[in-house]
Amino acid sequence: MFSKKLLTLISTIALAILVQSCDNAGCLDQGALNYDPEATEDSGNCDFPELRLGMNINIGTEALVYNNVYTIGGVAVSFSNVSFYVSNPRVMTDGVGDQTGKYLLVKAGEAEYDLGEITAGHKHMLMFEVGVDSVTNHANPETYEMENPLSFQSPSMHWSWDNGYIFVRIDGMVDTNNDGTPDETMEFHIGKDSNLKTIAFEVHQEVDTKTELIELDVDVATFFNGIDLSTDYVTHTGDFPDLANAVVANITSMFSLN
Amino acid sequence: MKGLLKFIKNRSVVLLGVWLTCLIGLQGCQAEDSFPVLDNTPYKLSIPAGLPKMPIPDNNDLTQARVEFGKLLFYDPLLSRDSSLSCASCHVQHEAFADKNPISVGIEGRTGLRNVPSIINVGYHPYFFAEGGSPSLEQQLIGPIEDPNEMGFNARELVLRLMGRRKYEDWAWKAYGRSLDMFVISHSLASFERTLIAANSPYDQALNGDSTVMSPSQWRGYELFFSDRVGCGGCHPAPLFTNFKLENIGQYKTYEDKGRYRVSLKEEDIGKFKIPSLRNVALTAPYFHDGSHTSLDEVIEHFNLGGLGHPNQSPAIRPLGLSRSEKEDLKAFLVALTDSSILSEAKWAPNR
Repeated sequence: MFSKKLLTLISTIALAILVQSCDNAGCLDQGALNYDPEATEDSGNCDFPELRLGMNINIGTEALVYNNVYTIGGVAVSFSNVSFYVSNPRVMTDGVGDQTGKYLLVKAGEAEYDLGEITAGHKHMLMFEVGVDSVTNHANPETYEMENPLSFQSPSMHWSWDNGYIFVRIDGMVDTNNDGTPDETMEFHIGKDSNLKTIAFEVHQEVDTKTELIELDVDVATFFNGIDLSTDYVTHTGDFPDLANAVVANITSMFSLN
Repeated sequence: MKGLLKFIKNRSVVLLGVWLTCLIGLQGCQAEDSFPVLDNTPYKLSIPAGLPKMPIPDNNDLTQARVEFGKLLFYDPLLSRDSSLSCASCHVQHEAFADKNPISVGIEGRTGLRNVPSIINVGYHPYFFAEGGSPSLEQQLIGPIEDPNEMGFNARELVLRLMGRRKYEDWAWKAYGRSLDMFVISHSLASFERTLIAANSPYDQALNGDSTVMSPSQWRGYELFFSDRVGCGGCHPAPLFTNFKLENIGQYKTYEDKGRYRVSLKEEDIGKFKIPSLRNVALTAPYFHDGSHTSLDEVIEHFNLGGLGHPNQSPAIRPLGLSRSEKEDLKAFLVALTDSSILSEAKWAPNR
């Protein structure tokens, strides 16, 4: 009697295993490119799109070239450095989306940044912060490996005297005597927790290929809207906060979808 | 020839050859790649009687190797962009680890922002720079390295300059058991700076029992200094002769350098600067954040007059009505805070 029951149990298990192994194996993740709606068993082999963020650093619509002389608001200006932090770039669908948690150090001349894998599907929004969040902002750069954008940078993106990162750093020369030749050092070093800016775009991008690119144009001239660069050309945020506030108000309008 | 071939064919000779080759190869590798082992021999701080225990960060226990490497870096001009200046260029030992300029001179003759402070007893400071914005000695010291008007260099470029150089890599492994990076550089430098402790002035000697080392004038100055009427000791309490707070002393009606405001962006912080220690103050002229006061007499007179009346001025700064002899006595007491041994202490001097 007992051994018959045992036999039945063993047969049932064997049958279950057999049935299972006959199931259709595939990718069960709906966010994957190779999502298989027919699959009933996870093959562990899902393929996700990889997102790249393009950042074209321009003056107007032309690529910014260091040491070229531009006219911005009627003042001759040249640039030796344009760099800024972008934090947690993310693509969203109805408020839910792929948080990359990444920190990028965007520089003129370096056009594309790898954001890693995201889910496939329709992406409504692209969002990111210019600057770094308040916790990271007060971390010490020496805790990061040299390859990390939050490590020490050259030119420096951290104030040792103010325990925080420089969110946006623009250096160059400006013409202060109206002769068309830049003659004074320009420094716009913008930071501080209160100046973290969230940028959001409606992108409406169908993410359905292995490599996806979202490309933004960044017009550096817009950063100086309403500023007379012949007289106001230096702020390290804390020393000339009014000038810092004026350029921070322009950050959002620097960005547009390519 | 045949004999030679036969000799080589002998298996034991071949084996010996292989072993010798391996041995030489291995030794070669070791000479190339092996760094000194971590040496955690503690550095024992000798805290003078009367000074408190010094706070040491959890991740930077003082060791002899760290202090020694820190001293080497402190005197190393490779820390500046053009290799012309070291930390010791502005923190000059025989000038009490400060210098005599109102504003120190940086690379290419550039002038910075502020008067250089003495770094004697700097390990006791709770925060750094005159506006108090830097939370640790390890972080502070990157400031002068990167300030374009001081050493004009860059932490990342400094690491790239020094990494791979045998001397620096050896010290890095000995001090921290890791390859050279900014952590190693900043933590070593901070370790050396923490050893700059001194409190053997006539005032200290008097407190420790020998009251005759202070003159009657210095004792009268001592009484005035700590009296309620004059009240210097309120902001400059013993034993470090600072409470490290940030205050506006009414130096200007309008401050070009806004001090603490640069960090906090609060109007009430305009013109507030960290209260300096008065130990060795007689050696560290000129005075105030911008080196605008050239003598102790001028400084005492500033406080005697009660400041220029800035809205943020500390209520402790008020007219004192000091007589000429009282001012002399106060000055005499300030001179009694001088520990002149710091000017020549051999363990802080560069290695010869």
